[in-house]
Order: sequence, then C-alpha cells, then structure tokens
Amino acid sequence: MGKSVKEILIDGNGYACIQCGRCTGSCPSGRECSLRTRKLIHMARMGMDVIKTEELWDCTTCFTCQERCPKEVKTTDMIIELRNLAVEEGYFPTMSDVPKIIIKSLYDTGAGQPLSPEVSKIRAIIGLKKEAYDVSTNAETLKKFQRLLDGLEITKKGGLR
Amino acid sequence: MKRIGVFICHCGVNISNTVDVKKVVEEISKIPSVVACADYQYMCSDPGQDMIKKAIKENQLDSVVVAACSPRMHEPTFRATVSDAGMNPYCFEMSNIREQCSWVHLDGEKATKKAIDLVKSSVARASLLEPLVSQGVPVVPKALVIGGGIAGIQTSLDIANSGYKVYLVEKEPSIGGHMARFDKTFPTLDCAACILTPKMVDVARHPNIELLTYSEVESIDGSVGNFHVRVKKNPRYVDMEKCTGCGSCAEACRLAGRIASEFDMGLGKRGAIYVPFPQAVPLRYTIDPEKCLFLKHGKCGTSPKCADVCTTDAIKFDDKPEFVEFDVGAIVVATGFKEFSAELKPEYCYDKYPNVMTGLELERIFAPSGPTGGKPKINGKEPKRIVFISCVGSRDKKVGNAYCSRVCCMYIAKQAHLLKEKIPDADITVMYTDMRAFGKGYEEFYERVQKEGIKYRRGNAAEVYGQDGKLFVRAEDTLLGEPYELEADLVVLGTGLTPNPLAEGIGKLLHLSLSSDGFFLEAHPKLRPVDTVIDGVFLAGVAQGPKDIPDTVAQASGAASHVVNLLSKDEIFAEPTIAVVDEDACVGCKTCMLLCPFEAHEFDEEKGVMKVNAALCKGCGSCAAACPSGSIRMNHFTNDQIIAQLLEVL
Amino acid sequence: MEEYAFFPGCIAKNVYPGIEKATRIVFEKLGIGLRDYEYSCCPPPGVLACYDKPSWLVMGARNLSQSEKDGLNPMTVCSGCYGTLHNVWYALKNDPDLMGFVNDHLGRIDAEYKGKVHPIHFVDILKNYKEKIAELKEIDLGLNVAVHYGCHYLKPSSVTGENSERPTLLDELVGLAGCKAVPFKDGLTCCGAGGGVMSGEPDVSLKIINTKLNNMKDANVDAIVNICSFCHMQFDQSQKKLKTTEIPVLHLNQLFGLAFGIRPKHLALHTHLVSTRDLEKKLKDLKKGGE
Ligand SMILES: Cc1cc2nc3c(=O)[nH]c(=O)nc-3n(C[C@H](O)[C@H](O)[C@H](O)COP(=O)(O)OP(=O)(O)OC[C@H]3O[C@@H](n4cnc5c(N)ncnc54)[C@H](O)[C@@H]3O)c2cc1C
Ligand code: SF4
Ligand code: SF4
Repeated sequence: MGKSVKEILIDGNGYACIQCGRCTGSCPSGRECSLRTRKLIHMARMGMDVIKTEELWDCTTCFTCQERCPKEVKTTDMIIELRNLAVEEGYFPTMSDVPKIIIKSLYDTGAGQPLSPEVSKIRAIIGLKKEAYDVSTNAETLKKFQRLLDGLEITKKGGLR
Repeated sequence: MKRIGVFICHCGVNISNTVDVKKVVEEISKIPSVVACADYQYMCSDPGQDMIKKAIKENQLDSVVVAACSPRMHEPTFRATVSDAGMNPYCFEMSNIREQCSWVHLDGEKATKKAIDLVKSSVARASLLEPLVSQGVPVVPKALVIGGGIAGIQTSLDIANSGYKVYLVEKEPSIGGHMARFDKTFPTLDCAACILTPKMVDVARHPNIELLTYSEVESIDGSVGNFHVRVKKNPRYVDMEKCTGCGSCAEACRLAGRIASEFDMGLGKRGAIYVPFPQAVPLRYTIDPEKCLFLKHGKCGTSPKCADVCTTDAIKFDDKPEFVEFDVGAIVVATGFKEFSAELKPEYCYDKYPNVMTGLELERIFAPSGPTGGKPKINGKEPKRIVFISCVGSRDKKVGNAYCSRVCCMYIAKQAHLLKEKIPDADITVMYTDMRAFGKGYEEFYERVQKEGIKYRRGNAAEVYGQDGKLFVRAEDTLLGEPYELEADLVVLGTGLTPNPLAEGIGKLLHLSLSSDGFFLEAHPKLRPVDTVIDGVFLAGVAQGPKDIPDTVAQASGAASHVVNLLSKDEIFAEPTIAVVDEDACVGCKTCMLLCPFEAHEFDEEKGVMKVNAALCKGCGSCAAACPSGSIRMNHFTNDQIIAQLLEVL
Repeated sequence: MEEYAFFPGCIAKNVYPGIEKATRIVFEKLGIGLRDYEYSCCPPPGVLACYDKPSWLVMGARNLSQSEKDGLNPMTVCSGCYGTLHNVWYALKNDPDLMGFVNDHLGRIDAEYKGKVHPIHFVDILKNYKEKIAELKEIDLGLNVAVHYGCHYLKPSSVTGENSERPTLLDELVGLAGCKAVPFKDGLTCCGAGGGVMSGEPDVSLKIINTKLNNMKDANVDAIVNICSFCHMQFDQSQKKLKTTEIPVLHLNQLFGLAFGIRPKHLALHTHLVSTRDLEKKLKDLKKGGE
C-alpha cells in the first residue's frame, strides 16, 4: 500500500535537490534541534536509513522549506510520506503513546481533543450548548463513523485492532 | 519502372550489432525495382560514397536510398554524393535504421524485421521522387545587427572589416550594453572600459558601419539574402550634427542631478538632458521626453536652460521620429539580457533594505564614473561585513529559471576580490550552492580570492532579515550541517541573467523560436550554435543564452563569419521543398494565409488565387494539410509519396 | 444570506470554547449564516496524516461531504483544520483515482464526496466584510498586537495561492479593530505546535515557541492575535509552562468580539491560561473614556 523511499523521492521531486541547504536554513525547528531537512533528502537518496532517524519527527510541517526550495522539491510532503513509511515499518517517534491516545479519543468521541467536564461547564456559562453538535451527538452517526474507522489502517496502527 | 539503388550502412557496429544487415540486403534485393543493393561498414566514408557513385553510373540509377542514421545527420552528405554522380539530389532518400531502429530495440530479430519494413517504405517513396531545382536569389551584401552590446559590437566590426556594410541598431542612446557598466572583468581583472571603449570608438568611426542608436527595428520583411528593414530613430531633441558633446546643457538643466540614472541602476542621478556615461558612443546628448519640463509642460522657467547655454544651437525641441529603410542580406540578433528582478525573491528583502544590492548595482559602485566615484560606499559608509548570495534567480524553478546563468559564480569572485582590495579589513563571505569555475583561468581565480581571505561557505542563503537597523543572513553551512546566521552591512545578490523583454518584439518580427529557458533557440545546440532555423538570421551573445564575455565575443565572431560567408555569395539557393499552389484548384479561401507561420502566402487579387513566396516558404506543410480544396502540393512530400511510404509499413 | 457550514474543530469546541462563541457572535453581527453538521475531528494533519495518510484522506473527505447536499462550503477557524480539509480537497480534486479510493470507503457508510464544496478559512470571508466590520466597531481597541499568520493558511502557496513571504491581510484586519500590527523578528515562523511536534517532541516545540514569544515580547506588544485555534492553544498553554512571558492571546474573532462591544467574559477570556486582566482593564478605561 505505502510508497517506497524511491517512490516518495520521485513523487516529491527529490531527485531535483541540489543540496543548497535553503530548506535547513529556513527551518524554524532545525534552529532548535538537530533536524537538517537537506540531510534527510540526501539520506533518502543515498539509500540510508532515513526512516529510522528521530529528526524525522522534529518537523512541524510548517512548509517553509518547501516554500523556499528553488528546485520545487516537496520537502514537507516527503517528510510526511517518510513518516508514514516509518510507521509502517515499525519505527515510531519518541513518544509513541501520545498519538495512540489521540487516535483512541478520535475513535471513541470523534474528537482528537475530547471535551472535559470543566470546559463543558464553561460552554454553558458563556451561552453555548454544553456539548457541541458534532459526530458524537447522534449515537447512530457515531457508530457509522466508527464503522468507517474500522475499515481504515489507522485504527490498526493506533493499536485499536 | 524506376531503377533504384539501396545501400545499407553498418555504422561501425551501431546498426549491425542489433540489425542483421545481410538479411536486410537479401530481402531488399528481392524488390523488382531495386537493381543494386549493397552494405558497407561506414556508408558516409569516402569509400562508401564512392561505392554509391560507382553504382549510379554502372546501373543508370534513377534514385538512391541509403539506410543509415538520421537525415539530420547525413542527408546533406549523400545528396552531395549523388549530385556528384550526376543525379538530382532530390532523388535521394534516406532511411533511418539507427535512431529509429537499432538504438531503440534490443531484440535483434524484431529489429531486423523493422529495418526491412523501413527500407521497403523508403524504396516505395524513392520510386515516386521527382527531380527538383533550387531557385537562385541574389544576395544584398549588407547586414543588420540588432543590439549594440559587446556581442553586437564585435559582430559588426568583424563583418565591416570583411568589407560589408553593417547597420547596427541600438535601442539605448549609447552602444556598450552591460559591459559598459563594469569596472573590471573576471578573471583577468582587465579594466572593462580600457578594452571596450576602443571597440566602441571603432564602431563609430568605421566607414562600413552605420550606427543607429536610440532606434528600434519597426518591421522586417523578405527572407534570406533580401530582407527589407524599417527602423525608427527616436527623437533625441538634440541635433546630432550640431552637438559636440561638451555637456554644458546637462550642467545647466534645471533637473540636473534629480533624475534616477538607468545606467547607474538608479543609484546615481542625471538631468533631463544627459549622456548615459562619459564614454558614450555616440557622445551626443539626449533629452528624456518623459522628464523634460519644456517637452512636458511647454515651459521651463523663463526659458529652457539647455538651449540658453548651447553654443552650437543643437537643442531641437520640435524633433520628430525619423524612419530609415534599407535592404540587407543577413541579420544578427544580439539583444543581450536583463538582470533578474531581485524582488521576485522576497525572502532576500531586496525591496526592503537599501543595503541589499544586486550584482549589477555593485558594478556601478566600483565604477570610477559611477554614483560613488568608485568608492565602495553604501549609504555613505564603508561596509565591513559583506555577504554574497549566489544563484539568485538562477537554478530556480520557483521563479521559472531552471538554468544556470554561468557568470554569477565568477562575477561574485571578482566583486569579492575588488571589495577586499578596497576594504582590506572587510569580512567577506560567499554563500554558494555549487562553485562553477569552468573557464580558462577561472579555477585559478577562485583559488586566488580564497587566499585573499574571502570565505566560501557552501549552502545558499535561506533568507535575509532586518532587526533593529541591522541586517542578518540565514543559511545552512552544508559542509558542517549547521544552520547559522551572519550580520551584514551589505548583502550582494548574485542575480542571474534572464531573457531580455526588449527582444520579444524582434523575436516576433523574425519568427524566432525560444528555447525552454526563454532565450532565442539556436538551430542545433552543438553543431549550429550561431544559426537560427530562419535562414539568414544569426544569434550572438547572451541573446542565445547566458554566457560570459569571452564566450560572447567568440560567438559574435562566429556569427560574423556565417554572415560573411552568406554575403560573399552572389546568389543563394533556397530549398525547393516548398508548397506550390495549383491555381486551377484554389478557391481563394485564404485558410493557408492564416496558418502560415512564415507569412509566405500572397493573394493574387487579379486571379483570385493564392501564391506562395518561394523565398519565404520553409516547407512546414501547415497550409497543405489544411487546404480545404486540396490545392496545395508540398514538393518532395507529395501525398502520393507519403502514402506509398506509409502503405509499406502498415 | 451568505451561509457557510461551520467547522469549529476540536480545540474551539472542547478546549477554547471562547473561540466558537466569538465566531458565532461575530458572524451573526455580520449577517453571515453558520450551519452545524455532524463533523468529526478534521483529523489532525500532524498525527493522522503522518501516521496513515489514506485514513486521513478518508476521514477528511467524510467531513467535507457533510454539507455537500446543501451546497455549503465548510468554514474553519483553525488553520490546522483548514490545512487538513484544504489539502484533502486539493489532493482529491487533482486525482480521480484517489477520489475513487476515498469514496469506496465512504460508500461503506453510505456517504460520498463529489468535490463540489471546498473548505474556506474564516479570514477569507472576513476580508470581504471590511466595511461592515468598521461599521460594527464600537470600541477602538488601540492595542499594539503581534499578528500570527501561522503556517497552513499561507503555505504551501502552490496550494493556497497566498503570498507566503509578504502577507498583509491580518495587519489590515486588526487595523479595523483599531489595533496596530507591530512588526517583530521572524514574524512569519511557525508556533512549533504542528506536525505532531507539540505532543511528540515537546522540548523542541517549547524551544520554538519560546523564541517566538521572546521576539514578540521584544516588540512590546499588548496581545498576540491568531487565526488558528491550535496556534492559540500553543501560545496560551506554553506561556504557562515556560513562565518567561505573559502576553495575552486572542483569536481574531475574539478581538473583533471585543471591538464590537461584547463583554470579555462572554468570549471566555477569563478561561485563558495567560491572564487577560490587564488587557480587559485597558479596554474598560477606553470604554469609560469614550462614553
Ligand atoms: C553583474 C554582472 C557582472 C558581470 N561581470 C562579467 C565579467 O567580469 N566578465 C565577463 O566575462 N562577463 C561578465 N558578465 C557577463 C556579461 O555581462 C555578458 O557576457 C555580456 O554583457 C553579454 O553581452 P551581450 O552583448 O550579449 O549583451 P548586452 O550587454 O545585454 O547587450 C545587449 C544590447 O542590446 C540592446 N538591445 C536589446 N534589445 C534591443 C532591441 N530590441 N533593439 C535594439 N537594441 C536592443 C541593449 O540595449 C544592449 O545594449 C557580468 C554580468 C553581470 C550581470
Ligand atoms: S532547498 Fe530544495 S534543493 Fe535545496 S537542499 Fe533543500 S530540498 Fe534540496
Ligand atoms: S516543514 Fe518541517 S522541515 Fe520544513 S521548515 Fe518546517 S519544520 Fe522544518
């Protein structure tokens, strides 16, 4: 199902990269950590273990690098694809349980960020419905939504199946 | 029945490694009209050609087929061969079994079968070929050169020195182009003025050169050997005959020092009456009609000061455009380039901070006649920390320029050196993508500037930002794999060369094609770099693609030699493979006229039918394909010939 | 009446309900209709798109399909939601195979997305209401603010069509509320929350936002104005964690709410982690002065 590193490079225009480093130089995350966007592209092209690197998960997907790349390399899109591949191959980021919690919440309530009783109270005070109208309002709809998720890979990857 | 000879080439092993040549000979020999059939290692070699000539004579051949490489490669060779043996060259047919067969197939058996089919179809066509005769056209022994940069100057001088008359048309008030803006040139650091000015003066003095500055080509008709040109001379509002170039007027002008000078990239100032630079050729003043108070408002104080001070009475406010018409046999397009517009890379903040400059602007800072008198001052101060950014607008698909501009790496090295020379304690960093120092003496120059203390850091700049009145440049040092930032007093953008929008009109007038980078397309990237597909039209300098001065001059001389070659002939022969209208069948609908990219169709009002101008027609076939009454015949590509050829491969 | 499907997103609903409230009030005052649908989480571009892109596409398409029968374009108040929905829409629009794949899944729950409605960011609606906003303004807020454009409203510009290096819209919009957008260093950089970094690499995320907050502080601003609930959350929560700055955080709709004379409490400003008390006091004085 997923793409190989080579396919990711082709679709993302990765072979056009001239290693100019404008991407790394633009990266707000790389200034604070060891993420080197240009290096990820180099590693991918050299057939190195790019999907095992932790830096892959330091990208905030801000798209600044992709915006600045003179060769139209889709750097951010490629990072997202490489993460997909990393997950598929079993290399999770440092705090792998957080995404799992989000995925579980998404499955149970339809919301990645569930409603707490405190916020529900605030909603009432400021004149909103205690719970917002959404996929979980109608039990029938929520069930359908869960049926949709049951057939998707994410529930497997999130450890729900 | 026609008597046909077929010759199959091995092309060394290029063909015979895949195609079973003997088998092809065996099959083709079975065709009744093929009275001679042979193969040879290299058909294009002398023995190969002799073999063909001998066969023509011995077998009284009517047509010859050579099965070998592409006709682009060797059709002219073999046409000459058969011609030598007394055969009409248009009775020759070429079958491409290399590019279209052996090179693109792996399976030998299938390739051999395909080769046989291809040759058979050529034989079918060859049996319908007819002799054609080229018509001679007399050549006007004069040339037009458009653009007076170093390319146009060199071409004009070379042609003129060979004894032919040249009209040199330049849009600006002076010739010189970009080179006139430089102080020194890489890699030898020659003073640009010292090597350029003498050539400019030679142009002005040359008896064979008619210089038309401040002029534009309005129209070009006709074709190779016989172009008719109309040029508009814009009014200078100064009598060229009377002006001595003394410059009193410019000093007196009420607007003196108040108008941004184009020549100085807006960094220096001029008046409404001006010469672009002191060494201008011709050294004649020009009034800027957009700015001149008298021309705009009919009033300049109590009286126009320029006219007051001019001792030769040269000011001519009622000047009008003049039109000149002349004929030439050949044209050279040397329209140069435009510097990349740096504001298209907003991350470098060129439009925000005055101390972010382009390469061309810095050239003016160095020039003794420039806005700072050659002193390296930015906003009145000597910069101490300087950052150069390479590839600005080059190798950059985001701004639509995929190509390398070829001169920026080196002009950056030159400029860094010049700055270091003038400000020895300056800290200069060059942020670069790749270093391209390919020319003679370039690599050595690159080494030299590094010895002088210029820092080269691999990794191009990501962005420039200003903070509290200071300027910073961010980049990754890709060799260290570390992002960093530098404070700078001056940031120089290594702006690239882009197609000159001023040349668009010329391209349209001459029906020139553009390559994907937007520069004019040469006829062949390797073997015909100064020709265009339009006969009699040649290219010189950056108009054809980015290049430095040495390459520009070499190409300019190349273009001149092609022009001289052409002009030295009394007559030239146009290809007879053109469209011919059957006057009896033509209904005069003019469909063809609308389609022809070369405007070769002329309507005969009297007879109500179309005619094709043999000199203009390039034989593209657009008209023949579209003619609703089927009255256009393409010589050498008639319907019968093409259908016979097709039937064999179907 | 101009009408949109209202896609509040998880944060505006479940964490900062003041944003949902402010949006409803501002849009009602502007006379723009908002209709509710049975939406799920967008789903988040960071966690979902990075873990399993196909699932992200299907879930995004389900959300997009909700208002299709009514022909209403979904409007978001969070650039994260916008990023997801817009990128899903863009990917499907340009790839019939992908659209087929998505609809095979949606077919399992009798849903379908035809690509007829497309997401819209609320600022792209507000930009057509500049005059009306000026008319509705009751208080000239007079604040010096740091506007945060964020990432996914602007980028990638090949998809959004925005000027990602020199945007001006927010500077203009806060001006309508009588505020001045003060330039500050690295004004366009990311808040550091996206891409799953806030949850997955919190140290990095905090470093990014810390730099950003200090740059804002150096510019002496009275408030941070954002157009994204997720950025909003990052600005508000991280200041509590970092404890180095204390700059009130306002979603643009909350800012307009204040300018339209809505009481801060009704916009749930008191529930923000960074106190808005000083700001409110300033406004009260203003109101008094004006009366
Ligand atoms: C900043 C910078 C520094 C450089 N430094 C060096 C260096 O040190 N050494 C080196 O070798 N190279 C250098 N180059 C490259 C050099 O500028 C070019 O190689 C050279 O100028 C090319 O000459 P050209 O005649 O082809 O074009 P141009 O110099 O551009 O001349 C073209 C002329 O044609 C005229 N023209 C255009 N359109 C029309 C029209 N429609 N009708 C009539 N006239 C027209 C123009 O007005 C102009 O006068 C540098 C380039 C830049 C940008
Ligand atoms: S900016 Fe683009 S070309 Fe340059 S190193 Fe990064 S991905 Fe490669
Ligand atoms: S998208 Fe990721 S890698 Fe690219 S600049 Fe932003 S944080 Fe850095």
